[in-house]
Parts: sequence; C-alpha cells; structure tokens
Amino acid sequence: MAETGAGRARWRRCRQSPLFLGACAVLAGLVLAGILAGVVSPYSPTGVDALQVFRGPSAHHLFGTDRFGRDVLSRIIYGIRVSLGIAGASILAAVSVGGVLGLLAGLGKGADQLLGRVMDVLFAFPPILLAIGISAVLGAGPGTATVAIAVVYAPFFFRVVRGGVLVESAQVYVEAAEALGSGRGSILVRHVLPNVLSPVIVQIAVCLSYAILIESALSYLGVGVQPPTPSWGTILNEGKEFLALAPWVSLFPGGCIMLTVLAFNIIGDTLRDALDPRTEVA
Amino acid sequence: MGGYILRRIIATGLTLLGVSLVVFGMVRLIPGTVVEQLLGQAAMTSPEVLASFRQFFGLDRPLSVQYLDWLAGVLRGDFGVSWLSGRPVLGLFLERLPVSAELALLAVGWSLLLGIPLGAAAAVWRGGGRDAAIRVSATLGLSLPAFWQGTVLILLFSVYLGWMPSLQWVPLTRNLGGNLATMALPALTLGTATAAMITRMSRSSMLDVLGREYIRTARAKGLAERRVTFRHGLRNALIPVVTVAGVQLGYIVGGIVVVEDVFTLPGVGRLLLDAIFQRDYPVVQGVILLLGAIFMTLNLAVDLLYAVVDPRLRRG
Repeated sequence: MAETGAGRARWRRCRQSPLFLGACAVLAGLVLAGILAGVVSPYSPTGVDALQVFRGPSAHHLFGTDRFGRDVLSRIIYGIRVSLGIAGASILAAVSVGGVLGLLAGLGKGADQLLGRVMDVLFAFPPILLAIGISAVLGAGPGTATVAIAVVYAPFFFRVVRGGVLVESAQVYVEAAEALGSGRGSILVRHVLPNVLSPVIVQIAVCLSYAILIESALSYLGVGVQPPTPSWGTILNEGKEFLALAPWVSLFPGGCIMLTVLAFNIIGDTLRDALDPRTEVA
Repeated sequence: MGGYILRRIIATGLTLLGVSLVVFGMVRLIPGTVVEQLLGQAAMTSPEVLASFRQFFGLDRPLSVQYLDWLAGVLRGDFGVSWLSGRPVLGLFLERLPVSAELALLAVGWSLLLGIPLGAAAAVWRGGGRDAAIRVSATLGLSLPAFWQGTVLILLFSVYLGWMPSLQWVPLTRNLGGNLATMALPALTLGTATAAMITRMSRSSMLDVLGREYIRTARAKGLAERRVTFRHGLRNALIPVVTVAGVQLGYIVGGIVVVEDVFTLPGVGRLLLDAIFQRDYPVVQGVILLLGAIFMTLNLAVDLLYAVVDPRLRRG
C-alpha cells in the first residue's frame, strides 16, 4: 500500500499530538515497569507482613499496604504483567481468529453466510455477560479470562476484516490482479489484506481498552484471576470489604486501570482520525 | 416496511436459536458432568448413584434430544428449576427483574439528559476550550471502570459525606424517595459510559447536521441562531443518537451485573453471580439466555424504530 501525501500528513499530525505522545509514554512506562517488576518493585507482591497491616500511604509504602501487610504498589506493578498480559494475549487471539475468519468470509458467499451467522450469535450477548458465562463454565483463572475475552472480541475483528475485504474486492486493482491470473487466496493475502489493516489497527487499540476493563471486571467479580495472584481487578476485589478502613487498597489499582484505559482510548481515537478521517469522533 | 420488519424478526429469531444452542452447550462444557458437579465427591465413589442421577436428569440421552427437550421447555416458559432453592428459574428471574429494569432505565435516562445537551453544545462551540473540555470529559467517562467508579462514589457520598445511604436497597413500592436515593449512585455509575458515548455521538451528529445545506438556507433566511441550532439542527441530529441510546441500553444489560455487585442490589445481575458461585447451573443458563434475549429484543426494537424514522434503511 503506497502511503499518500495526505496519509503522511495525518501520521505527522498524529505524532505531533501531545495527548497521543503522552498516552504512548504512559503505556510504554507501564509495559517497562511490568517487564522489570522484579527490579522496580520495592517489595514482594505476595510477601505477608503482620506488622504492616493496613498501613496508609507513606514513604515506606507509597500506595499503602493491604490486610496481609502486602505492599499495594508492588502488587500493582506485578499486576501490570497479569492485566496487560491477559488483555494483550486475548486481543492477539481475537485478531488472529477473527481476522482469518473475516478473510475466509470474503472468499465466498457460502463461507460468508455460515461464519456471519456464527458471529451474529456471539454478537447477540452483551460482551461482559458472555465473558462471565464462559468464565463460569471453564472455571476462574488467567487462561479462562484470556479465552473469554478473545471469544468476545473475535467477532469485532471478523466484521472489520470481512467488511474491508468486501469493499476492497470490488476495487479495480483486484480485477486487474485477477486478469493477470492471480489466485483468489493470493489476491486476498497480497493485495486486499494490506488495505484492510488500518481499521484493524484502530480496532486493536479500542479493543485493548475494553479487554482491560473486562479482565479487571471479571477478577473484581471473582470469576477471573484468583488471589493471591495480583491483577488490578483482584487487588480491587480484595480491598472492597475494607473500603472505609483502607480506601487506598481500592483507589490506587482502580486509578491504574482508568489511566491505562484512557491511554488506549486516546491512542485509538488519534489513530482513527489519522487512518480514517471520515470517522472523526468527538 | 412490513417485509423489512418480518425479515428482521426472522433473523432475530434464528440468532436467538443460535444463542440458545450456545447457552445449552456452555453447561455441557463444564469439566466433569453436571451430576458430578451437583453431587460433589460423593458421586465419585458410587457409580450406581451417578448413573441413577444421570438417568433422573435425562443426561443419559443423546445431546440433540436433550437440547430439543430443553428448548421445548424454554418455549413454554420452563427454564428449569434452581438446584439450590428448587424454585423455577423464570420465577427467580422475574422476581429480580424490576430492580434491574429500574436501574437500567434510570441510567439511560440521566445519560440522555446529560449527553445530548453536552454533545450539542460541544458541536456549537467546536474548536474552543469548552468543546475540548467536553471531549476530554467524554473520553474520561469512557475510561472509568464501573466497579471502581461505584467504589469511589460510595466512599465519597456514603462513607465520608454521609449524603447517600450505602448498600441498603429500599423497594420502590415501599418508599419512592428512599428507593430513588439508594438507586442514585448505582444509576450514576451505570450510565456514565453511556452518557460519554451519547455526548460523543450527539456532537458528531450535530456537526454533520450543522454543515448541511438546509441549515445554511435557514441561516440565509435570517432565522435566529438559537432557532437554527435547536429547531433545525438538534431535532435532525437526534435520530442517530436515539439509535446509539438504544444500543447502549442493550450494553447496560451487561453492566448491571457489575454495578449490582458493587452496590449489593438484589437484581438479576446479583442472581447470576450468586448462581455462578453456588454452581446453580440451571439458573446461570436461564439468566444468561434471558438477558441475551432482552439484549437482542432491544437491538431489534432499535432497528425497527430506526427504519420508521429513516426510510432509506427499509430499502437497504
């Protein structure tokens, strides 16, 4: 796909947006902190200290301690691995499965009809409800949460890729490739796929924000990651019983979730404006 | 028009059939058999007991027969019986539905009341500081995890300020004022993301309408700006906003599970979570199916409403 002058200008505007750069910096910082959790965490995330139970934020414990005397900041830093890891893995699976099925749907009417109906059924559930249902059936845990979120969001990528394939298949360059003797599969992969990548990239950013919200909601409700493994939702869940006594246990992980989701939303919006100016949002 | 409605209803019916298959299959995917889950370890020691229970629940029959039998029951309004209380699932669901329905309607209501004027104002103030403030607020609203927002609101209004009763639900039929007081924070929490979405949609739709020929004509005729904006602009910009509100009402169906847990409201969301933790699978199955059906019915209603106000869709 040749990048046009207008396209380059949009990318430049995107890179010059302080909000976009700020959001990227926040995410890069979080990912780095997650990778280096063993180095940057002041304490062990599971280290119990009976003498430090429910200590408020201080120089020793910046985000305070929980009911077992565990350092909340350390748990949040290790929680980055779990929360972002599940969100990333689930969206990667959703893009792979939904994208491949979307391409297949573009191959022929029969495949399109069949896959379209299956995706309609998955779309018929509110996302969080479907994720809760899958978690309830498969049992709580990080693997289940990953599968549940992937199943919820695969239809989104299916629709984006399928829609793009249908639009691009009607373009003159596809007819030209067919006239030159290229096979349908080869045209899809070599010519059509690169042209449907832009909306997929935007969708990835948007879905990552939803995936973080759903993962933390599942863990908060007790059907996602289970204690003592620190995920942001689990930490919040553990703090909800002691809200009046130790609000910091709930406030800080929630703030991290909001900051991360906000960063993904800003990146998604900026990319959408840059890659598809027709769909500029508020 | 009649043909379009019929096509949409048939399509929704077929999808509902698929949904029923997924929900039925879900319970069959549970590791171990349903009977083992029900009886626990005791069943493992006695194959005879296990076999007799499998026969009693009809689990020794082929899956297709089990599904058709279950589906026939569902169509008659028989969603099975709770393993825990022995009560019909539909009865349990209907008992809890008014709380959830009230919560959902209050949430959509306030989000419309706030989102439409804010979005329209942002469009009128396009490019200015007030527009930027509204856009940033909308993005923030979309980024707030409902369970955390609810926690912060309880902490602020109930624990610190003492303005709102916390975690003490009052039935609507007993005390209207008390009920609304207990529902205020949950509705605020549940409707925040929807309000943010409606604000964005209203702004985008209003910007689109304000750039149309007929708006320029209205201005050229010398109509007052306020009349042009509200009479000609906002009224036409509302059509897609109503659609978004309808779709959001569907998503709120999912959100009630989280919000009812945070505020310990006795709605269908709480019923579902309790059933999950108690492994009461007929209730889990029935509630997910019924909430899915409500979600689809709302989507269908929005589609049909949109077709009524926009004839181009009926021809599509």
